Amino acid sequence: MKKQLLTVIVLFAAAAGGFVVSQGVFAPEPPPTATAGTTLPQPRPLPEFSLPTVNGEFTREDLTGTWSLVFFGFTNCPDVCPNTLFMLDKVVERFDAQSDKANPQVVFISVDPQRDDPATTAQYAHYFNEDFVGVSGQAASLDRISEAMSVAYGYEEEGDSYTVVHSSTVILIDPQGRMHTIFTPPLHADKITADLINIIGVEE
Amino acid sequence: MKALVFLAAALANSTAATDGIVIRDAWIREAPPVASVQAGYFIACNNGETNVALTAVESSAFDRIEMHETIETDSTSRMEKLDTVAIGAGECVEFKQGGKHLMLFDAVKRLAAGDSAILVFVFGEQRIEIEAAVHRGDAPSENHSHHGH
Repeated sequence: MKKQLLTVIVLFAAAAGGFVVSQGVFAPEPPPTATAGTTLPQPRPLPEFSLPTVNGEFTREDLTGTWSLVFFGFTNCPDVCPNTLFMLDKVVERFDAQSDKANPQVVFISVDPQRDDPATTAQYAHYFNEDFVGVSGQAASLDRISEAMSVAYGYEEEGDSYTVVHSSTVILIDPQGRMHTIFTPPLHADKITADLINIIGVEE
Repeated sequence: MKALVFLAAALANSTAATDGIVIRDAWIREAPPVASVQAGYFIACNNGETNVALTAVESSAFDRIEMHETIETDSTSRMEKLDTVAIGAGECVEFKQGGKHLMLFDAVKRLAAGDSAILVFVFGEQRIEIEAAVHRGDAPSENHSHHGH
């Protein structure tokens, strides 16, 4: 068991710097960007990965063909994870009511594979919305995908148990399976919905 | 005796006061079936003239209860255990989503929305009992303001 916070280098600071430059006077019609987060200047392809679910392996292919919202957490998390998943449930409901585009899929990835097997993770995700996908972590692939999404996680000892430290961002993946936007806390359903309608409504 | 406690809690209409300390808006968030922990939230006001400290929260409905605070730094969240929470004279402390919260471990019997549990707030020698309703989702008042969606 790793006891220290695993720090992942955040490429996203560099990405944010590039964003300012890309907004030059010559850009005729810049693609829509998020106001509740940071849209990458260029969508970033994800590496290959394979993570277990109750319906078999979840891979990069499962993040293509539709827009996806990805959140990393763990089921023994009483505050931040339910806050975020209830918020994402509202986002999907409001997007559905306001847009004729297909709803983004919501993917919950557990960073606590020791306690969250695929069945537990799926049941947890389904509690918030029947359509949410629950994905269980697994060391190598989990490290690869979380690093690619600029997400950090780690474990801290607490008495004879441990608690999980994790990024509380929500990642928007485009239908080509590329990282598009990082939504950063505080996360508000209305702001994220407005961004999604702006981004998904224009880009196909 | 147990009936009396429930009656007292019902009469208090989910607000309980002792010697100037008032606990209100206490609620417990319904847990997903697979989760072994769930959160509790409330507001504690100290209307007295001396500082007080909340040292523990107890309940027969849970295996144990801890006070925690969600700390958000650089978009990363972690939980910090609080051994005691001081409330100055004339001040209120809010336990709310994304901040301080009760960490309720292993409900003796699963609590569904509409159920309630008695929580005992311990301020040194003083013990304040309150009935906390179980809700699904966000704070009850917020749920109401979002009706119509």
